[in-house]
Amino acid sequence: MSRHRDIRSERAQELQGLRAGFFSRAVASGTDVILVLCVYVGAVVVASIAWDLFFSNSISVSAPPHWLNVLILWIVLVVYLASGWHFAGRTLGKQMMGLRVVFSNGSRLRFPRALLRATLCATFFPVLLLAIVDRRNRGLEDVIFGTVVSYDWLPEVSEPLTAGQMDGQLEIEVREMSVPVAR
Amino acid sequence: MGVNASTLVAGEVTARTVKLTRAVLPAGLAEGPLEAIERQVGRRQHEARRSEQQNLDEVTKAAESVLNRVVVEIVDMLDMEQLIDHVPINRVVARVDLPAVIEEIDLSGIVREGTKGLGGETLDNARSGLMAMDQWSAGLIDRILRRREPRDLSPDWNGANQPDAVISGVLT
Repeated sequence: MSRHRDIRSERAQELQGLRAGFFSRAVASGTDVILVLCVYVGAVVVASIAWDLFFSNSISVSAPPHWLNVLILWIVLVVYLASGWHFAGRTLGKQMMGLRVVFSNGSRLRFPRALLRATLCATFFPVLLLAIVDRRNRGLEDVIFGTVVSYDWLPEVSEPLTAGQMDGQLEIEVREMSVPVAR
Repeated sequence: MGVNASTLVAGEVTARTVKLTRAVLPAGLAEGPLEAIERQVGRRQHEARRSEQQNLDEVTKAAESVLNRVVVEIVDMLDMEQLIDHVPINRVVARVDLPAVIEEIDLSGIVREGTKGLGGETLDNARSGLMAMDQWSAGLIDRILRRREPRDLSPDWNGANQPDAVISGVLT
C-alpha cells in the first residue's frame, strides 16, 4: 500500500529544481531552530530529573547558566545543520518545506563545507536576507560557499509510481470477501 | 418458435441426405446441384438459429420483468416490522466473526492512507503558499529596484554536470 504523492499544482511542478526564495528558506530555517530548541529543552529537563533521581533528595528542573545554554544550542544547531546538509542534502525543516541544499555543481555538500556553512548560518542569521534582493535568490552563505538551495518536494529515494497512483488519488484496495462466520 | 425448430430439424435432415447422396452419386454429376442445396439449407439454418436466440432473449427478459414485479409486490405486502420481530438478529450477529470482518476490510490501512493523503495535501498547500510568497516578494523587490528582466532561478550547475537526481528539471 506504500505510495508516493504526485505534485498537483502545475506552478509548483514548474518550479521544482529551481532556486528557492526567501520565505520558504526562512520558514525552513526557523523550523530547524525551533526543533533544536525543543530537543535541547527536553534534554535539559530529562537530564535534570535523572540527575536528581540519583543524586538528590528532591526532584527539580534546574536551568543551566545562560552562556552555557547559548553555547550548547549553537553547537547542536551547527552539528545538526551540517549533518543534514551533508548526509541528506536537507534538514528536517527543509524537508518539511520541500527544499534541498547542494553544491553549485549539483553534488551533495562535503562535511567541512557543510560545517562552515552551518557555522555561518547559526552565528549570523541575517545572511539569508541577501536572498530577498539577489537576482538569483542567493543568500550570503550561498555566495560564499557556492551552494544552491532549490525547491525539491519529492523524496530523494522514491519508489516507482504505478499508473493508478499518477493522478494523486488515494488508492484503496477493495477486496472481494465473504462474511466469515465463527463456528 | 415451433416454425424455427421444424426448420432446424428439416435442415439437419436435408444436410444428412445431401451428404448421403454425395457419397452414392458420381462426383461430376451431383456436385453442382448438391452444393446449391447445401448453401440454401445452411442459410435457412443460420436464420433459424438467430431467430431462436432472439426469441430466447425476449422470453428471458419477459420472465425477469414478471419475476421482479411479483417479488416487489410480495415485499410490499409484507409487514416489515412484524417480519423483523421474527428474525433472531442477535443470534445472527453473534455468529458473525467481527474481528475477522474488520481484518478483511483492512480498516487500519484505509485510515492510514487517508491520514497520509490529508497530511500530504496540507503540507503541499503550505509549500505552495510559501512558494507564492517567494515569487510575490521577488517581484515586488524587482519592481522597487526597477529591474526589467525576471530573476534567474535556474541552478546553473556551474555549466557542468547536473546532479544524478535531476530528471526533467525536477530534483528527485
